[in-house]
Formats: sequence, C-alpha cells, structure tokens
Amino acid sequence: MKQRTVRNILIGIVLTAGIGTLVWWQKSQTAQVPAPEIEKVGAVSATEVASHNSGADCWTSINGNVYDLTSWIVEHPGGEGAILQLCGTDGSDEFDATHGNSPQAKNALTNFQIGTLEYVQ
Amino acid sequence: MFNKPEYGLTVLRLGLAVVLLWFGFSQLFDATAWTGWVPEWTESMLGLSPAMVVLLNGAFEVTAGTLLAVNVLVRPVAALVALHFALVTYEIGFTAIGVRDFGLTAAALALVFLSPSKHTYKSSAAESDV
Repeated sequence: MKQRTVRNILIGIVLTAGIGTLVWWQKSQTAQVPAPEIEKVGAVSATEVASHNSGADCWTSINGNVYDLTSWIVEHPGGEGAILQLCGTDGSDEFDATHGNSPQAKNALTNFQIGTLEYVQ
Repeated sequence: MFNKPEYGLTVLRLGLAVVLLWFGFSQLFDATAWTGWVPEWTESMLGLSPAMVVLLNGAFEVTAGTLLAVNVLVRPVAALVALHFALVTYEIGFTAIGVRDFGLTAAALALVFLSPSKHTYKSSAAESDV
C-alpha cells in the first residue's frame, strides 16, 4: 500500500476519532450542569423582560409568551450567540424566521415558558 | 509559494470532513437537542420520528465525514454532501445559518468538480494525490 494511502488513512482515523472524542467530551461537560427549576411568574411586562438581559439571566418574549432561556444558551445547537442576542428583548421575529416551520421547536420552547407578556394599554 | 492546488484540495476536503464529523457526532450523542430542526414533512413522508431522523442524519454525516477524511470515494461522497447541504439550506431559508450552509453547499460542489476522477487512494503517480 502506498505511503500516501497509509498517511491519508491515518489522518482520517485520527480526525474522526479526535472530533468524536471532542464532541463527546463537550456534551459530557454540559450534561453535568443540572438545568435549574424554572419558576413560573405569570404576566410579565416588557420592562421586566428587558431587565433579564444577560447570559446568566436570560428572558425573552416570543409571540406573546415569556421564556427563561438561561439554561438553553449552552444547549442550543445553533450556538450560544443565537440565544444571547434575544436576552431581554422580544425574539418573535428571530424565532419565527428560524423555527417558524418547525412544530418540534415550538413544542420544545414550551418547556421554558414562565409566563405571558403583559401588554400595557 | 501559494501556487499549490493539491494543498488547496486537501484543505477543502479535510475542512468539510471536520464540519460533517462535528455536527454528525453532535447529533448522534444528543439527538433530542436537534429535533427542533427536523422539517415536518419528514415525519409525514418517511414515517420516522424526529429523533430517528436526527440519528440517521448524524450517521450519514459521520460516514461522509470519515470517507472524506480518509480520502476515499471523495467525488461521490462530495456530491451527496452537496445535495444534503442544499436541502438543509432550502429548509432553513434565508437566514444567517442558511447563508452559511449555502457556503458549505458551494464548498462540497467545488470538491466534486476538483476531485480526481479515480478513487483517490488508487490514483496514478501522475495525478496529484490529494
């Protein structure tokens, strides 16, 4: 077998095993952090949502409901940035644009609901 | 100094392999985290649960990534990967993620057009071994 062929196979095996190990390790690190209990708060004003605007305390309103996405930041498959940009804001447009056609995403979102958005007349 | 097409092809192939392996393993190790991305039509058309679709997709991506990494069947695998990324791009639509996946589609297509015609590990000495 040519030397280059052996080299290619070795590179491929190392790359596959290495990335698999790295992903497994990353998953094990996030799995060790237990998801905090989400406290239901009822009707929430936009001002209250805006005050929870950091990665350590991340609320967002989506289509009239309020969600605590703090524990979801590190779990989100699309990356932390996509959730962090929603903290303290209304994320309806972003969520509908990305997950509007996914009933699974909408169902998953319900796990994080803590209340409804209070509309000020 | 930078006129090394064979190096460019290797970088393109391994770069795509890394992306496929990373996302493939992520789906295999935590399928439930990815079910939000599964299009609704897969359940009605294929009769598979979203979690099963994620696992199958992950298996495909790991397999494709491994084949690209070991430089085997590069052209057909790249063609399948290009089709796969094109479908993902279409489903996600015109968003930041969709645009990024469009770039991956283009990269996979480039690999289809640039790869040697024979199985790379059996290519003759006259061809660049990438």
